[in-house]
Amino acid sequence: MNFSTRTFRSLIVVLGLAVLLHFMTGGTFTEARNLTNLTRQVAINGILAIGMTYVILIGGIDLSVGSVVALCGISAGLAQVSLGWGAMASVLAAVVTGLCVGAFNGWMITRYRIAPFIITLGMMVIARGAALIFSGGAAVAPTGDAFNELGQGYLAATPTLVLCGLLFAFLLMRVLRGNEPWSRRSLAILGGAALAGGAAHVFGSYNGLPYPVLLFALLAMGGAFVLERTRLGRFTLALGGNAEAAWLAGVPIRRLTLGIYAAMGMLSGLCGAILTARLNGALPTAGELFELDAVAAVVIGGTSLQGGSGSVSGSVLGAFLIGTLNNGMSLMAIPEFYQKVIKGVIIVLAVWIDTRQKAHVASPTK
Amino acid sequence: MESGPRRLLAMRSITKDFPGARALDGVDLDLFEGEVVALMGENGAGKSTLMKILSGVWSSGSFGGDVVLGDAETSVTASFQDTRDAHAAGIAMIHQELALFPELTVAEHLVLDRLPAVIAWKPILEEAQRFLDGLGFDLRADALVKTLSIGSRQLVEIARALHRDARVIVFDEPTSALSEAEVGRLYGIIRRLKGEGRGILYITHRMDEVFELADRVLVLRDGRSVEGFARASRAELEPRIVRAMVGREIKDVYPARGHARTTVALEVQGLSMTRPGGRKRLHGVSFEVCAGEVLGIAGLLGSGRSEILETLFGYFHPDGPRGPGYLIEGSVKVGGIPLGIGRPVDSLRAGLAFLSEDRKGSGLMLGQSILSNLGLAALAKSGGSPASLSGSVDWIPKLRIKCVNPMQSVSELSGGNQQKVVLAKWLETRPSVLFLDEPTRGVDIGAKAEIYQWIRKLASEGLAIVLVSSELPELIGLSHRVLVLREGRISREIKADADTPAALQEQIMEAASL
Repeated sequence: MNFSTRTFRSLIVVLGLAVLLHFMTGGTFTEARNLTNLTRQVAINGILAIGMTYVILIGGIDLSVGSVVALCGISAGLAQVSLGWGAMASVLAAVVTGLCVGAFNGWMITRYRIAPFIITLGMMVIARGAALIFSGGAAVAPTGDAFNELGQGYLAATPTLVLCGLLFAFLLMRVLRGNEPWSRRSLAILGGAALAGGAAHVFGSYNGLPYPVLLFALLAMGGAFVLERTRLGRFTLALGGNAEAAWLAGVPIRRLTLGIYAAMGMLSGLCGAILTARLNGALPTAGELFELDAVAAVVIGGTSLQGGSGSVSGSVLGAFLIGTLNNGMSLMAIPEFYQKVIKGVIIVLAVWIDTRQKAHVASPTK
Repeated sequence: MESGPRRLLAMRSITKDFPGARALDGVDLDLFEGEVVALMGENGAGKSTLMKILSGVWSSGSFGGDVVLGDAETSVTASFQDTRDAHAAGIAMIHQELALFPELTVAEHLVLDRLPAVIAWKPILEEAQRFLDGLGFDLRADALVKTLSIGSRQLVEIARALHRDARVIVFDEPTSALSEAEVGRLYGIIRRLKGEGRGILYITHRMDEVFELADRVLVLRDGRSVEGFARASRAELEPRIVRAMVGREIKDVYPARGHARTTVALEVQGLSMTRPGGRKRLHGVSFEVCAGEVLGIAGLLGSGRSEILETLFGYFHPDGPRGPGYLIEGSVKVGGIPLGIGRPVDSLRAGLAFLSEDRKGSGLMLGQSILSNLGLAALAKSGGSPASLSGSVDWIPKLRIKCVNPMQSVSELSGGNQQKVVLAKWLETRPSVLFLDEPTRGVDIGAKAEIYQWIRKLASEGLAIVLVSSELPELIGLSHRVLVLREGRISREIKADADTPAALQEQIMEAASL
């Protein structure tokens, strides 16, 4: 992962907000129980934001995410309740449903050149309708205990601690082998130690690491790795930077676009399964406005809506920022109507500051 | 009162700073009635910045020095807040990348800033048409700009300037996208404007144009006005201008041709291309290129010269940005091995590489780093991992790409250095056949000479090169043979050492335009 200055800045903002909330909530915010819940709440939006980062990087958008989460949740729910499938098979049902919807979006975009905004807007309505049809408009419940583990279960404290240790060791190795100046390296090590230690403390002293958070962490690392270190990731940036140039340079722009929308669908499917498992059942009205939270996380994270520049780490932090705000405002018992206004203002503000910074850095010489 | 032409404009000690760089440092410029002043200098020398100050893009107060309008008696120091103020003061700029609205009519462009809330079309169109006819411009007032050729669009910009009765007109490399016939027409118009007592500032990289049009030449280098030249004979003046621009002398703009080998690197038989909708743009084009040979392709704009390269390279594959619907026929062999025309990645793997004409549109990812741009094609060709591409940075010193570091965004580089990045991107794929479409467009004279040297060097190392260019001297100076294209067919083949360059140029023009 490339720890850019911008990522670092966002991290400071999130941590600063956490400290602020600690004092404003009389310490409730930083209790292990609350922080565990917070990460679990963030996980779903975070996973969606990882996929959305890729979609936005290639200059696209996926507005169908929230409805697809609901539809895939219904898939998993029906697999559990009506078909009596096992836990794994039910999750798979959700993921495959998502894959099909995402691939269909991608296919319409690449084959028939329908603007992503339009096709996914249509899909947003279609998938919501389909969710209502298949569920008969009512909750599909109850799902089995084994399945519910996905949303409610924990990785026990000991393996969690080991995982935190491994992560820190990995970070340490990367930083030591890098060639950044020592001032930045020590900062990165300190920050990493604080984060790993904090995570170990939070998860170790409560119930352990929630499975959704584990999935989120793995997907975030995978997403960042693919973007920074693989051909696929470089092609994604190239396609978003200039589709014509990418095409001439040999990038398979059609397959790549299709693949990215399909992957977005799969991640929506996974989130549908997680959400269903967390609630003991699937609701056809679930996932409302998830797409907007995901887009907000990506944009707050500094990914350009024009495509071509951005990072997964930024989006992850963006998701944390939104999640922290939601959680903190609930703890402070701010009425929900006001919460919405505050959240909206902060999203706009964050992006505005970011744009100003970028404009300042970019030199106007030709 | 003094006799002689009146001064229209004086720029005094203009200084402009950008974060980390001084773009202009005490530049002076005068412009008199009925005068064409050529403004020359390498990219990054400050020409564009100077003109942006003159045309109000950089508002008064954001730079040092004075812009003075009128002659000594009537002089007023201008303080433009935006381009409208400059327009009001009679200064108009004809941009290189034309600032027009594709979906609006020609007439609307003339009166855009005075368009009433409710539009009565008839009088507007009639008045505009009368105005255009009066200028002798062959334009219909009700035509949508998107339906016009580049040359006609430029006429729209000029008409717009004249409609405002601009006294000072700035042309920024106006001929870079024009056909020869359109260039001739533009020269005629500029002479007429001059005859009417308007002052013309003419930014260009082309010596031909300077000697064709300019009364004076002002050379900028590194943000300073280096030297001004009065009109003199070309033989005497040209080397002095070049020296002033680059700060050193450039000898032998076109290095000596090497010998082509006899092994055929690329063989094309009966290449045809039909656009969606049935318009056939290439009609059975056949040619071959040997290793070590530079094959030039000449032709007017729209003759199909670029389409040959684009078609061969796979740009029109159904998966591409233009989508399905292109019909392509013909057979291609690279190094004797048949190549089905497929996607660009297939062409790459067969050993082709293609530097396209439109650097910003299809050459570079402008917002991204030099390194990302350099490695992209090789990454697609090799199928390896990005880590294996660290070697591509070697091109930066090799091609003398001026940059802060490899992570710098290419948008911050000058045109010449951007073009070198694109060239390096393709050379990194180690091709056996290199397609170059307008490799020196928008490139300053220093970088131009370097690119010429590289073309030579690559050919002498055995690379087969197909060169498309609208600059005939360049085409003749570099190629072994030149194919002349007319309406999608090869109308003539010319050997580059068969006659004097001037005679060849005439033959090519004749073959290209019937």
